[in-house]
Amino acid sequence: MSSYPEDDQLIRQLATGDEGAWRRLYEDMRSPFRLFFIRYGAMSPDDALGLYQEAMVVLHRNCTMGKIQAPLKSSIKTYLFGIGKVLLKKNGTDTRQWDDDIPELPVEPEVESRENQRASASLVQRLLDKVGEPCKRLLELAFIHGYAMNAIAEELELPSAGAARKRKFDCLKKMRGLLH
Amino acid sequence: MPSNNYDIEPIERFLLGQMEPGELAAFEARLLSDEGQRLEVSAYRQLFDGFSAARSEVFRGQMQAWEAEGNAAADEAELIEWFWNGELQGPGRAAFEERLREDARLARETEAYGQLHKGFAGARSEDFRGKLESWEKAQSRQPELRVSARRPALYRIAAAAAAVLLLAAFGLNWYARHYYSAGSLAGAYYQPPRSETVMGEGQPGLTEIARQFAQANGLFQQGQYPAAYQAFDALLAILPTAALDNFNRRYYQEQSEWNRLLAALAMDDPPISPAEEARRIAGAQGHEFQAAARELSGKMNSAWYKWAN
Repeated sequence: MSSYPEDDQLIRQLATGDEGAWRRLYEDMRSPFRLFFIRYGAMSPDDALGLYQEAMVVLHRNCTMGKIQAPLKSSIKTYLFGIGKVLLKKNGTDTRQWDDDIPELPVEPEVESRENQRASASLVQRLLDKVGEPCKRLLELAFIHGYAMNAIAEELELPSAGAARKRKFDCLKKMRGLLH
Repeated sequence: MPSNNYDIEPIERFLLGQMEPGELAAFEARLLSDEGQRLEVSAYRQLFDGFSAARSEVFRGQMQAWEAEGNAAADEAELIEWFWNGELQGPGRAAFEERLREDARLARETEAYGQLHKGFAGARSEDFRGKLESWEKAQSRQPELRVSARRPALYRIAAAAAAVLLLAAFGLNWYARHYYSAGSLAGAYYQPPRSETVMGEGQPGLTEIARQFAQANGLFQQGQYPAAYQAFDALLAILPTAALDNFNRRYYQEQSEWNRLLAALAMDDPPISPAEEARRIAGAQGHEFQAAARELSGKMNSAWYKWAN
């Protein structure tokens, strides 16, 4: 029996990349997160908003990559606030005075620097520009927009999800060849 | 082994953490013994990390768009609310007070919200005062009750204060209800249909759609909001398959979506969330009512709207 049945259901929905669900979560958590970090994190309102968006990006990545899955061991809110705390610690902020307000996370979020992310994204973007428009479109749908194979087949008018899957691997190989 | 001879499918499952424990152990053992496989995994890891980072960039863009659609406007009201509630502390409060000194418009807004804040506090006090009086009445029915000599004077002061608060609350309440109640907003944002916009002879579905559209608008104009909601909703259900050209289909669809939202806004228990629908239209590029929906969303996020509804 899960301790967070509603959040389990939500995390499954978020994992599919459902934009409406992400937007609702973003708007629900925005105020409590900002207020918490303005009060306890000694942050200006603008910095708290920046931290919130970074924490949401980490949650989004971990969720869509399957690194956080149901059944959850903490609520999504606790997880999100925990990510905020980890991000602040990485920036050298002392969080000891309010550590007790956010319990340690059962799953430590993977937090990558924005510079590394930009470099990785830029490499992929350069390669996508070289693999040809059909492959670029397919790989973007699969790996950036999170489309399922049957949705890709429908979008690109391919005969089946299996055909889309085969095309995806062909395109990946083409891209991998450019890495030499 | 040449790069092309490696199967990408298990590499993808490995990098995305989708392998079962047994398969994972076997794959890791193979990685230890096969340098070519290690090189392949390393190369594909760069690609998958890059895709993940690119996806995060797209998500950042979405968040910026959500911010632009209304959160930024609500932020100021929220900050002011935290300020008056005493929730804004530390550097956040110091920065806000600095802004108050430098920004006359923000200072005016803060002062105006301060009146609301005091008005709410006054209204709460009035409500509590009513309870106190009812408790007093219940007590006064008991014969042993003693009345202090200072009570009449205190009552006179309390009554004067209550009158001032009631007056302030009444004025603010009138303003909020007149300009920000759901019904007022629905009426203010409603536009009667522009018949000259509808063109196109030889479209068999057009006459029937136009008739239903006029009927739905008639219901709205008579204030029969639940019936108007149903009429616009029914129209939206048949529009996708109606025999219309794209121009007329889009015209009726956007008008009906907007008017259905306004009808829902004026209803006590609407079947859809007006706030969500307003946000959806505000985010629909090219929608005829996109700008109006943005404005309406902003008003629905305001403290006035919360007060009035």
